[in-house]
Amino acid sequence: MKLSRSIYYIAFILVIQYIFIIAIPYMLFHLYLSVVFVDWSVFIDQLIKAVISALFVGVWLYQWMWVTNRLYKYLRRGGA
Amino acid sequence: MIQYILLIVAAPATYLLTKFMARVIERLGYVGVDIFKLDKPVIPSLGGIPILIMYSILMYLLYLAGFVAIDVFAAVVLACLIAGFVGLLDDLYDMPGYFKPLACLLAGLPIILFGTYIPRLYFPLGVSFRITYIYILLILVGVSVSANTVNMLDVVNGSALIGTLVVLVTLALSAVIIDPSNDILPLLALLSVLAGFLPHNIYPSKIFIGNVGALFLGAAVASFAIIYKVEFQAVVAMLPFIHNSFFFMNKFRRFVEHKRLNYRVTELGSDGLIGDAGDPNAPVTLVRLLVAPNRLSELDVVLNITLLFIFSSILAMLSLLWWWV
Repeated sequence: MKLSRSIYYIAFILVIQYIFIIAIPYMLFHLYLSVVFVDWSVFIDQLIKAVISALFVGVWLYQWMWVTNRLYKYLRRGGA
Repeated sequence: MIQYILLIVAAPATYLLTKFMARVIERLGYVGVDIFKLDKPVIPSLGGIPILIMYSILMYLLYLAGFVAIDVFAAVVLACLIAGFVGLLDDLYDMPGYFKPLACLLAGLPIILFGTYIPRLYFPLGVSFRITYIYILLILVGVSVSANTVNMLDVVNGSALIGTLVVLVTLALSAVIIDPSNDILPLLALLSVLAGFLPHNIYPSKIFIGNVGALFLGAAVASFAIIYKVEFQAVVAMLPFIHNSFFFMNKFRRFVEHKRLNYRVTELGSDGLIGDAGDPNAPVTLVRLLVAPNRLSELDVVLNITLLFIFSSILAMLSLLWWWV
């Protein structure tokens, strides 16, 4: 069996995503537990929290894309 | 005892049924070209049909014998049948790109209708979110995403099937560790059926699973993740699948059949090795990343993908160490 030279880099990217999948909910859980953004409407408060969560997910996916594109260019240049 | 006999018998029965159906499917003309072989052999497709038939029969027998509850039986089998039917339609009639993601939303309905879910998402370190209404939406989207993401990695011999097998084993272990009272018999039934089908699909493939098989497998993974409350482990174990489809979606920003796009991700050299086609318009898929630095044989690509799945599954299992902290 021949291993791809990029497999270690891909595994590293997966570890980064794994850390984010744990860290983002942990952070949001404690943020939402302690903060009420709007005290006159539970619905608006939940909506704000949902938007904040979606923003975090967006940033997470963007960094995933950014890191992988960087890795691909690095590999194409013969970096691995 | 009888349930374990059924599980053991299911594997060779699937093997024989697949062998028989491969001939029938080939005679009917539903075949595909194995593009990563130099002699470009023509292989029967629609291999998902014998898996779907055997799994439905096995689940029905387990239900009749009283080993599987009616709600779990109906939710899992119907979700798998709907996703498989969507895939079959695409295999037979070459549907537009948006058809599969939209139609697969329906596959989540049986889980909602039979109430085999708890609207709470669990994460490591004791984190959980109660999302009563959003969870219903997540079921529909999650089943469709899971089905389609498995389908997108069905690019080399056995890649989708082996990946799904590793994920299913991870889900079975996680479900038992998180809650020992979880009855994982429906999941073991699927593993047994897939074990019987595996010899036909691994490199060199004698039959392709087709859209019918890939969508069915993805829907099954999502159904078990929801029923056994192991959504987090499923997402982590499926990271290679997600990575692959995410880059495809990001590149084209729409649902479109890859057959209709004018690009080449990889190419087969005259030495029989797969290399990066170097097309700037092509997405950075998992296979492209693997063959970017050095050309690999198809078997090596499959083995590298399998290693990545084992690695992500280990990560998923590791999360159980700090699940209740």
